Formats: sequence, structure tokens, C-alpha cells
Amino acid sequence: MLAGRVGALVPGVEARRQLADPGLALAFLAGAFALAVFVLYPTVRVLAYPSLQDYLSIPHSVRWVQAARNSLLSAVLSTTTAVAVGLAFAFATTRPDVPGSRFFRAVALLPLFAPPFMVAFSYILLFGRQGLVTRHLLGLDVNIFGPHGLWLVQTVAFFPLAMLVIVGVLESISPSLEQAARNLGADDWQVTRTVTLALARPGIAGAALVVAISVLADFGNAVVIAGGWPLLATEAWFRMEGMADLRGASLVVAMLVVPTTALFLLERYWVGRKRYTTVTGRGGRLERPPTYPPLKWASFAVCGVTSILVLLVYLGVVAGAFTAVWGRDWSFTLDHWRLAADRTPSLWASLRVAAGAGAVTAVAGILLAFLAGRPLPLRRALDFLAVLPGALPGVFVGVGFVLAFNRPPLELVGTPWILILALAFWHLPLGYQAAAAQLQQIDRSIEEAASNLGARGLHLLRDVYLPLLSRAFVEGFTVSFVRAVTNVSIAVFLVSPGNVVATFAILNMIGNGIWGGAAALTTMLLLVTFAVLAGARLVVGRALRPAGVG
Amino acid sequence: MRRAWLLILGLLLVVPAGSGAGPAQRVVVLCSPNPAWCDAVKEEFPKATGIALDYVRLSSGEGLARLRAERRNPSFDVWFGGTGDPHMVAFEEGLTEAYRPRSWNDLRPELREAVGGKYIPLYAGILGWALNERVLRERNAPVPRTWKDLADPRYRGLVAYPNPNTSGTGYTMLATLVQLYGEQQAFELLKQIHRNVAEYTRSGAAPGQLTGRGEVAVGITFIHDAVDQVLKGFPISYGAPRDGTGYEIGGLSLVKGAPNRTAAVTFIEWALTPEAQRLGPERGQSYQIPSNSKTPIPPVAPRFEAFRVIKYDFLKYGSAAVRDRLVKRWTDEVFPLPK
Repeated sequence: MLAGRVGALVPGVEARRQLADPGLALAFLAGAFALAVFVLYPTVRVLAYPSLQDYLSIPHSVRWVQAARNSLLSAVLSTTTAVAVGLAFAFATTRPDVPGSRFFRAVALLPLFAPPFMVAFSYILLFGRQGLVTRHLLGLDVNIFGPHGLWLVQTVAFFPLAMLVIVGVLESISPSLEQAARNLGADDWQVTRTVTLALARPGIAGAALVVAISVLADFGNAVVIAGGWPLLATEAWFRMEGMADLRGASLVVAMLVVPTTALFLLERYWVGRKRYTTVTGRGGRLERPPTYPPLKWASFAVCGVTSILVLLVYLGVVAGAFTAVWGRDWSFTLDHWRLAADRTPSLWASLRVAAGAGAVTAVAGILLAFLAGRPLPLRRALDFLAVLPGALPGVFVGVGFVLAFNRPPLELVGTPWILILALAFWHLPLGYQAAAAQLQQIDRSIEEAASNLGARGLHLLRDVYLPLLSRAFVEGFTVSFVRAVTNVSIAVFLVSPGNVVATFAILNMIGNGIWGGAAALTTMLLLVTFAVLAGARLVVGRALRPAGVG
Repeated sequence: MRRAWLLILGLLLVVPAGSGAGPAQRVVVLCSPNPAWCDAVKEEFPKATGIALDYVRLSSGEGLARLRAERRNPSFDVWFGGTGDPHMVAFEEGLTEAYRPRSWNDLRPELREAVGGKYIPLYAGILGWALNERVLRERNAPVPRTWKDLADPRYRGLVAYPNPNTSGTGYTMLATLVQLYGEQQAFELLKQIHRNVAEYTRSGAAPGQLTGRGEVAVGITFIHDAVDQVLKGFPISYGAPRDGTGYEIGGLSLVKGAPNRTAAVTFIEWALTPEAQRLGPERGQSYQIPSNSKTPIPPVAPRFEAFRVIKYDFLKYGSAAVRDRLVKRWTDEVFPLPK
């Protein structure tokens, strides 16, 4: 015991002592090896693939400059609106006196469970030139394809991320501060402005960074609704799948990863620390004073309109699955379900791949969180690599895995493993953070007790932590599973014969204009997703939600 | 708890096993035509031969990209369908090999000659467009007659055109214009048409479907894809530009280093039989002219005599150098232009 404490003061000694345990040393090697091979190596492969000449030629290529400019433009526009809407939702859901507060919270989480292209697809059905709403209800002639359509779609798709971040901050603001300001003579508007919004500012900044990463990385919506507008995320795929131009593809994703990594680091190391802590801590038991009415009704209006838009996403797809010929023949049909039933093998493939990815994410997450919590060498490097995938766009990971594993020593192209591992390690931060959060709750004294009884290294993990970590496993598994089952950005690069996943099949159907079948298959996929979430909720005892980069 | 971990371990072992195992013999097909045709082939081939079939549907540009990426370790055995140019490029790059099927002499001689033995002709289809006359009327735009008509600002936002990066149809139009007008003029025309394009689609069949739904008024597509829309009851008509149009010779290729070569050869022989070729029109919603002269031509298939079809130079425009250069030029000079 005492030796352990003293050892901890001298990191070298302690590290050596830890690694002397063969089990722990083995686990450490396995964790480090997995991160090196499946996170670091693909990343380096992509960045090193284009020559210096290629990098230098970027400013001279009209197309790439334009794609970069468009990506930045859409990031600025969509982030602004998504954060504004997210703020309204966060405000409404943390104030019970805003009408419909709880309803809004439930609705706002819905877009997180949809495959990334679903919002775009549904809005084409509803608001396109043959849209149910635009043409048949309002008699308008609207072309939704293009940047403006993408802006709308990304706002709806990503505002929930902003909301989740801002809610966390708003909830920590003690009502007593607002009360105090009021007692000092501030009116409603002054309280809102100088207390509530002022304290929420870091939350808003953090939300903006998280949303901007997702918008930049958004592939599914962009490819469905803005196929004609050059963007970095879709450009990478056109290069690769259209022209087999690996070098161009890696150059484009390398361009994309610069801003996402910068935003990610900013979020993690700057905003993440710069929280305005309100001194009272958790003592916020006071009643929140009534919300400033104009603000209350403004947020109600924004949330109301957005909620309708969100519900329409789901309604549009479900309606599309039962409508004979969208835009022309509105009669009820089950034909599309027959077509979708022909594609059930792809649903099974999705389940297999996502289950594999979920298990790998959860196991690797727990192992790494355990290792990162001990005084081992390279601990910070492990921690950094475990969260790094959060900064990488899906298309980057897709290209990275093709480049890294289409040749020996690890030739995985054409096998299901390449897709499973890509998805598993892309979602690693989710499993890692879930496990780390659980580990922090485990009292150190339990470990010390076991340690005094003679348990060492891996025995500690197996006998003490694992039973306590089953919850972390289920969380990591579920979040990774849901995001894997709905993923397209990686799947388009890595599907293999016998493993054509459902999202890829759906994207193909949309591309071929088989909208009814695509809608039916999407509905099936949603049912599977919600079934898994419901199961996880039973096990964990609370709702889980998949948040993170698109 | 320990049981749960065993379960996970079991799961991990099952994942790859569940996906890799199958009957003793199987063939893996890269399938580029209409998915309905791929489905029919997947169902009928095992019945005829007892060999299981797996396919991935990729449009022909994507297919070529995939074969290139897997050059060292191909997972596909056969490439079935899709426009011919990418098949030809694949042959030149050594991704596919020349295989002379037993039914070679039954194949239409004009198709055989045009592709120079670099791949096996599977069908022929003529390039044209699908027209939604109701949308045209609403927008006060006349029915287009020539490629040049499409440059008219009255068609703004009314044209759908498959992206030549991902679609063989898109490339066929690009190469057709170059052969009709010369490269410089063709690109000028494409830049003007670009302003009218509502959406560059991924696949070649999508513009016909967008036209059928009234999303656009003119969908550039192979005419047989427009015929499919008409037969499905969509209110469209079809035609081809009077200044001349191109055509495709859909391909069938044996992948070099195919993991299941024997099964692949069996598949190729089967795919050229009249029974197999009839699946296209009968169940695959595909109305091209079949390559085997013994296969009856579907009555609704667009015939060469009905349109002004140019003498398309497949050997030149199917070569990798020309194709890559033209597509790159389009991607750099036309696609990024503001609309």
C-alpha cells in the first residue's frame, strides 16, 4: 500500500512496477497496438499519401478551392442556425414554464437516431418540386436540391447536438443567481441578458464547435440533396468511387481534417476548461423565477416550428413507404415492403456489422479507459489517440482504412472486418468516455481492498472492475451500435460482397429513384434501431442517445 | 457476468463466420444494371447451375474504382453490365482478362467489332432523354430538339444529368458531344447546359425517374431507362437529339485473378444465353437490345433505325487516358461553375 503511494510520486518507478505484472503489460501492449494500427496508422497513411507537390497545388485547383469554400460556407450557415435553434430548445426544455417543455425535449432527440441522409431524403419527398407540402398542399414550385436545401436539412439534423451541449450549461446555472440579480433591481430582460445568456456563453461556443465539426463531416445529407454542389465531404467520395483517384480522395479528406481537428482541439482544450462555474455548486433548489414572457414565447415559437419539421422527417419517410408512386399516385400500397423485404439480407448484414462494431468499441473503450486511469507510460498519448477519432470525419476514416488495409501485412479489403473495425474505432471515443465516466464513479477503496487481498493488475480489471463496468459496456455497445447501423460515410467506401449494409442499399435505391423501397427499408432500419435502444434502456435503466460527429 | 463476456466472445467469432460461409461453390458479381435485373440474376443463376451468387450493385464508374482499389486482392469474379467504357479501361489496366465465350459467334457482329474483343458485349442501348411535357408546358418551355436547345435559359433548373464521375451514362453524353462538336465546342455547350441543371445524379437511370416524378422536365438518360418509366405509367415521353446521339455497348468481363474463376466462367456462359438475357426485359425492367442475336429483341426496345445514332468510337473514348482526361476536364471546368 505505502509502497504504491510512494511509487506514484515517482512515475518511472510506478510505471515499471505496473508493467512488471505480465497481465497488465499484455493488456497495455494490446491497447497500444490497437490504437497504433487502427487509429494512428490509417490517419498517417491518408496524410502521407499525397505528395508535397499535391498539397502545394491545392490553391491552384479551382475545384478544390471551391469545395473548401462551399464547405466552410455551409459550416458557417448551418452552424449558426443549428446553434440558434439549439439554444431556443435548450432554453425551453430547462424552463418548465415554457409550454410544451417536455415534449420539445423528446422531439429534439429524434434526429439523433435517424440515418444521416434521412432528413434530406424526407425533405425531398415533402418539400421538393413534387413535394407533398410544397406542391400538393401549397401549390408552390420549389427546387430543394442545392445549398439552400442543404442548409435547412443540416439545421434540422444537427440542432440536437447544440441543444445537448447548451442544456448541460443552462442546467448548471443556479436559479439563485437570477433571483439575486432580480433582488438587485434588474428587470427580466436584464436578468436574461446579463446572467442567463452570459453564463451560457461558453456552452454556446462549445455547441458551435461540435456542430461545425458535424456539418463539415456531413456526407449523407450532402450527397442526397446537394449532389451538384461541390463540398469536401462528397468530393472525396466522387474522387474515389468515380475516378478511382485515391490520391485526390486522400488530398480532399486531408483538407477536411484540418478544420475539424482544429475545432475539436479548441473544444476539448479551450472551451472544455473555460466553464464559468457558479459558486453555489449543486445547491440550486430554489424555484426558477418565471421566464421573461417575450423570450418564453419566442423560444416556444422556434421550438414549435422546428418540432413540426422534425416530426415531418419521420412522417415523410413512413408515408413514402406506403404511397404507391410519390407525387403522382397517392394510393396506399404494400408493394414497397415487398421490395424492402428482398433487401432484408442487407438488414442482417447491418446488424452483424453493427453488433461487431459495438462489441469492439465497448471492449476497447473499457480496456483503454482502465489503462488510461493507471500510472503507465504513454498514458497521455493513449488518452489522446482514444479521443482523436472524434475529430475525424467519416469519409476520412473510410479513405484511411482503404489505404491502410488494401495491402499486406493486414489485407482486410473485401472482408467484413474492415468495415467493422473502421466503425468500431471511429466510435471509440464514445465507448472510451462512457467507460471513463463509470470508472470515476468506482471508489478507489474497493480497488485498494482487493489489492490488499492480493489481486494484481489484470485480476483487478477482471474481478473488481468488470462486474462494475457491465453498464459501461452496454452504453458503449449501444451508442456505437446505433451509429454504426445508421452510418453511410464509412460504409460507402468499405462495403464488400455479402456485407452490403442496409444504409448502402438505401442510398443506392435513392440514387436509382426507387424512393418507395428506400423509404420502406429506412423504416425497417429505424424499427431495428429503436428496438435495440429499448432493449438497452431496459438493461441500463435510462435512455441512451448517440451523439457525436456525423 | 463471466457468461456475458463469453457471449461477447462468441459474438465476435460469429460475425465473420456468418458472412463468409456459404455453399461449396459461389460466384461474386459486381452488378451495374438496374437493381431489379441484378435481383433476377441472383435468383435464376443458382437455379440453372447450382452455384450461389452474391452481388454488390455499383454503377459502372464506381465499379471500375472498386476493381482498381482491390487490384491486389480482388473480391469480385465477374463484372456484369454497365456501360462499356469502364469495362474497356479495366481491360487496358489489366484488371479484367479477355475471355472468349462459347457463344461468341452468336453475338451481334457489329457489337463484337466495336469493342475490339476487350470485353464481351452484353447489350446495346441508345442515349437520349426523358421528357415531362406537362412540366415543360407549365414552364412555357418548348420540347427540346437538339443538344444545343438544352443551353436555352428557359430550361433553367429543369434538366437532370448523371454525373460523368459516377455514371457511364453521364460519360457517354460527354463523349458524344465531343465526337459531335469537337472538344472545345462541346465544353462550351456543357458549360451553358450546366446553368440549367437542377441535379447531377449519381446513377444513369435517376434522371428518367426524376423526370417521371416531375422534379425536372428533361432527364438525360439511356432511352431504354425512359421506356421503363413509360411502362411504369409515368406521364413522360422520350426521344433523342436530332443533331445526333451516342450509344453504349454494355459489358461483361471476367475479373483477373478472380477468386472463383471456374464459377465465373460458368456465369459468363450462362449470362449470354437467350434464357438469361430475357431476364432483362422480363424481370429486370431493362429494355436494351440483347447482344445474343438468338435472344428476341424486346418489342419496346428502342431500335437504332429510329434515331440518328453517331458512329461512336469506343476504342478511342473507352481508353483510360481519354476518359480520365475528359472527365477530369469536366470536373474541373464545368461542375464547379456557379449556376
